[in-house]
Amino acid sequence: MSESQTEVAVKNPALPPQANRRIAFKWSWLWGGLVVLALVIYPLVNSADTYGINLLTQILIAAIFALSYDLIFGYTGLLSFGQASYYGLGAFGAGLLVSRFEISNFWLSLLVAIAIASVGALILGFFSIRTSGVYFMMLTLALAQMLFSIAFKWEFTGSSDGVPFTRPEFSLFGVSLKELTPFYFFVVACFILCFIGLTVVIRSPFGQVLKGIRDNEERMTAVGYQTRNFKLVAFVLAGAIAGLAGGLNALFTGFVGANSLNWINSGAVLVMVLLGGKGTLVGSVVGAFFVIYIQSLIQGSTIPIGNYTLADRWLTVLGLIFMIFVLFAPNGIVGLGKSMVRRVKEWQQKR
Amino acid sequence: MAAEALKVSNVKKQFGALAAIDGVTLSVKQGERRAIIGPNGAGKTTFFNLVSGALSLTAGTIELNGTNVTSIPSWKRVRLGLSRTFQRNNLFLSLSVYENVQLAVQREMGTSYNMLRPARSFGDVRAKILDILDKVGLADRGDIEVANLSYGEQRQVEVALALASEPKILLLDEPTAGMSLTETRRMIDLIKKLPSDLTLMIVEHDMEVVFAISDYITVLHLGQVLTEGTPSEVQADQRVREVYLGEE
Repeated sequence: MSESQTEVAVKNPALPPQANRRIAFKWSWLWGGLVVLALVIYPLVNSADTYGINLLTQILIAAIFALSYDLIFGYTGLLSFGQASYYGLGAFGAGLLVSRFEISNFWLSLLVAIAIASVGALILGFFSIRTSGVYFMMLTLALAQMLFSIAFKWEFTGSSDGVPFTRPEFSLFGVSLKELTPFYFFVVACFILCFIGLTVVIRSPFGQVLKGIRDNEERMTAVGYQTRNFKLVAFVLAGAIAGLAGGLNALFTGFVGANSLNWINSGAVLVMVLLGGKGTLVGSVVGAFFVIYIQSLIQGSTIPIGNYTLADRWLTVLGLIFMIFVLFAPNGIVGLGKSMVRRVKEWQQKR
Repeated sequence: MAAEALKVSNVKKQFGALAAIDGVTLSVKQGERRAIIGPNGAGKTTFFNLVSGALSLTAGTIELNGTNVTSIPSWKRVRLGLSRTFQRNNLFLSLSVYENVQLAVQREMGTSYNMLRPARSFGDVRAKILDILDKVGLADRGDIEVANLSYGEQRQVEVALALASEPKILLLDEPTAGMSLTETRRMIDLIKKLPSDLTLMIVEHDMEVVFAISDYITVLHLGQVLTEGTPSEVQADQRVREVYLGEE
């Protein structure tokens, strides 16, 4: 990998911006390193702050989920309303294995979560991908809601009450990960793995194909691509990662319910990706952080609005934030940041 | 006599009550430079869409190098050596020039399913992209986002994309439409330099381009072949003049 990077610059002096890109890439590694460092240090410094660590765990799980959706929406350009299906399938896979099949094994639960979500994505994707535009949207929504209704009615899946279960015991390096902080570290590791994994995928030829499909699927066909297969692979990959997020959440809370399959969950992840900046992995993470953090702030507030408190109006607040972003910052927080950097550079050049 | 690269037999395309292509038969020999001309609405672009597979036929057959491709989807026809450009620029706008060509080259070289290595690290893919960019005169524009190119340069990327899939037959749909005089000249040079065993079929309004490039011309009118012949024959044909003057 590294030899090619240098080769590029030497072989082809005609492409100067490449050099800039390489420097920018190093900067992003530095920033990423700092964020990871902060994530690791936080619980060590504030070990008593269980609320904060709990919240960070939720944020990171949401971020993994958002990353999976960005692959489908931001990179492949498929506006799916069914990403919650794979999150929910993962959650149920992990939870039901413990509660219904009485196999209390953490690793197996995670594995089952990923496997079931992938198979679900393969099956649902197989049908959804045959359509496009509005029909694709409606079909992903319909299939997802179908799964939700089944889970909501079926006793096996806990119907409307959900299924609580005893979290499986597991330990790494002699530390029980059932404790909050070790579990948090485990989620941090999963998050980093997913982020780096997706970064590699997106830089690969396969990732280029996804971007090509997003930009102009007709043209992809005209250069000889059978685009359907690529979209299906992307679906399965995103499904697997969403399943991991769902499984982690179930194992974190010791509970799994039909709501994890609800379309509101698909909507939430869409909002995260849009607010953060679609088509950038960093954007999905920023979006997940932003949404979950603001949610925790507002849901903890007791500011009265009429007969309610602000906490009851969380979705209204989210809706307003969403509208403001769609109208004034369609490229999300990351897009906003990029355009600010560009303006500063222009201003510097003028001087 | 050279083999037939493309054989179109009695092809029809019906849009509701309108017969856009109404029984066209023609054959193009390997290495030939064939121009398709005709007044607006003659069905030239529709004809291209039928040959490339973007539209399905109502009737008739299409053969590519002896293979019947009538019911083969367009992406497979590309793999049989048929490549095209579009009348209106039809590119990957958020990607750089390099990445646009890369998509076509990596498809041709079969690396598209690789998820682990950076796309730019494939040496042979890279070499071919740079070669094609050089051929179409975009060697120093590789890292520019296609959306930021001039219209004429975008037309060059169109050609680059079509060339990247190693075509045996290349369909060019108005390659110089909307170009300045200098850009047009450059495009003519580019087309003239294409390998002589490559079969070319070109739709073009600009007669200067048509006469500079083609060695045989098919005139379409109202979805049918009005006449065929060498450039001088077509130029002398009274009916062709009538059709064109009638349009003006």
